[in-house]
Amino acid sequence: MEGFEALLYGFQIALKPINLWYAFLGVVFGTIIGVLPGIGPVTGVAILLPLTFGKEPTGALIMLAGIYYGAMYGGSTTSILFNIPGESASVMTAVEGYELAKKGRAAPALGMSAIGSFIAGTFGIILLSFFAPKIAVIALKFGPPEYFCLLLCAYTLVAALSTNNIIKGLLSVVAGIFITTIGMDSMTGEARFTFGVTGLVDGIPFIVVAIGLFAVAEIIVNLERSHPPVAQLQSFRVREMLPTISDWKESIGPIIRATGLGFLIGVLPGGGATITSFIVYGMEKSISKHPEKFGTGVIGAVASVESSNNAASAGAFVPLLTLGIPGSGTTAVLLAGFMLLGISPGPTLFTFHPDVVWGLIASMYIGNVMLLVLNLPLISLFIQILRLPYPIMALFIIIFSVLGAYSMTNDIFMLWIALFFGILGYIMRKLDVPLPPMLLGVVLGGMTESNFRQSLSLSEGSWMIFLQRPLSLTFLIILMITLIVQMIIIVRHGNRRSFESEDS
Amino acid sequence: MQKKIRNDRIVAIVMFVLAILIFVSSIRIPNSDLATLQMGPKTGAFPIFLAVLLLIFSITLFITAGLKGKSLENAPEEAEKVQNDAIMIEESFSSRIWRLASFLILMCVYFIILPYAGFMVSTTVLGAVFLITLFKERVSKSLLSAFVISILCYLIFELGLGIPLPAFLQAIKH
Repeated sequence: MEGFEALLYGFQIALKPINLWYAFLGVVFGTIIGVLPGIGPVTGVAILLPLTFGKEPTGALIMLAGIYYGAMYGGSTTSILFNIPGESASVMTAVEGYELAKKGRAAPALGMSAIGSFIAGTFGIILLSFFAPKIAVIALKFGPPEYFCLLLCAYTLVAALSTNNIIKGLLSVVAGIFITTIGMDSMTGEARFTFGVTGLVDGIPFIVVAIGLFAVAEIIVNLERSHPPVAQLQSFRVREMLPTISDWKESIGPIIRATGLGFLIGVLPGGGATITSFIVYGMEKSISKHPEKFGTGVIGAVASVESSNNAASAGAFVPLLTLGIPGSGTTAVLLAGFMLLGISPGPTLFTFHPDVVWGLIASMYIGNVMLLVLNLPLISLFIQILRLPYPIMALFIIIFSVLGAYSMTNDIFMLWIALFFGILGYIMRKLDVPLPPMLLGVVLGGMTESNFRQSLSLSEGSWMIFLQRPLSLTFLIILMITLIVQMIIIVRHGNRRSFESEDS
Repeated sequence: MQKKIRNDRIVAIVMFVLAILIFVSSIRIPNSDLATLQMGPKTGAFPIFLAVLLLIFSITLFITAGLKGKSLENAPEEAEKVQNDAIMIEESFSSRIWRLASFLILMCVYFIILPYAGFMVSTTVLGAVFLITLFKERVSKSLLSAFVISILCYLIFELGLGIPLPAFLQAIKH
């Protein structure tokens, strides 16, 4: 089943009342999470993951996707109104949007942000519908050696694109993969790295690691700061939020460019919404007739950044659904959600579970419409959440996170593990070691090991199998080029020269 | 810059030590009868592969400590405004240490008493202590807020999702 026929089938599933309800719940919860400052999409999706338990897989995935999209939308609201980015992908929205708000143009900035996100998200999903099945057909030819090399390549790209030091990124990934080796080996039944601790025999669930590294660590980091109450909250009428003709003239070009570029970058492992927003902002500034105006409140820049975020979010689903490879922390959590629901994303998803994948893609269209409908009239309601004093919010998040970790195994021991990872996440942030690569390693570590072992079983222990197969060799070449280029950049353009001049 | 180099070297050393520990532990993993029947790598092979990667990367990081490549993650210069205008104020060093230590102690106590006092009692009490000690909230407000949050979480998890939460004296009964 392909193309338009498949999409129609997907809409039949997505438009079922129960699935519409799940999509609605997902986008509402996601937007609320996105509005909360300091709680990014990764943390938000991780702590809301338990809400999908007990539901049938299609509905649960629709809710998860809604949470993901909603969190992206919600982050722009606090950026524009309070100069507090809901997450890192909204930083550039804060730059321009807050300046617009200071000029009394917060409402059209919010409106253009929502509309631009909707347009880009819709086109991104169209591109996803077109490209994903084609890539899935190619991926069906992959065997264990190809998958193993593809995973190594993906780790390297994520470390290269989304961190400022590829070596730290790779260390983080490998540490994450190591975590997946703790517990009983599924192939031989031997316990590894449990050191006699019974609670570790079943391994460490991904969600416990995610909650610890992101939610608990975030709370610990925020304990180092005081949180004064936010400024007076405004309310808006829908009419005020509709952009003017002049706003549209300024924004339509950036929206189109941001959609195409955002989608392409989003497809790459490591090419998440944050990087996309920086690249798109830089591109718009460089081609603008008035670059000096950037930073003073340019509505076209708000539109382009928000459009790129949503296009990248759609693009990130391409490798996730077709190869089972998430390219960012957030899609890593989504992948874990898929696995918890018994669905293994990858090329066979389109063959064996067309109802799930096309239902999910169709629900993304619907979710996009819901977000536009919700965000315009209800934005005043959503930002009332910010009236909650931070201490209450922090307590709620920590309790919710603790219960999320507990819900995996009903075992108090997992709470200690979550706390351990919370402390680890805090230390990693202090030492500037990136967290998303570790999360990626934890999600994909099991798949990496099984493909590694299957490959060497096929070749009777010979490592040459990775070099003898054209696709796996190609992935290894891409990996080596990425590593070498990054190391050359680090050595040639690193900060050592400035350090030496400070010393002398 | 000194701090960057120091931090990178701390990470490199820790990862180097971790690599050695993984390597030593991996070669000690016994091969079960099932493992000896298998062709291909044995139980400890993949962790050894990871240990070798950690060794290589940690040595490389130690040598290149403090250097930072050009990254697409680097924000445009306008983004500095967002950080400068941020309304969150860093606490003093001693205050930070006190808050972090208090939080960790509270969480440890919470996990210890949770199976005995049950979810509602332990969350309400420890939640209130969290608000009072870390955020200097009033006792009555803290107790009420913690109680409401406990009820909300109970409704969501126990009744909404069907996940049984620790009950009062659950650990003793079992």
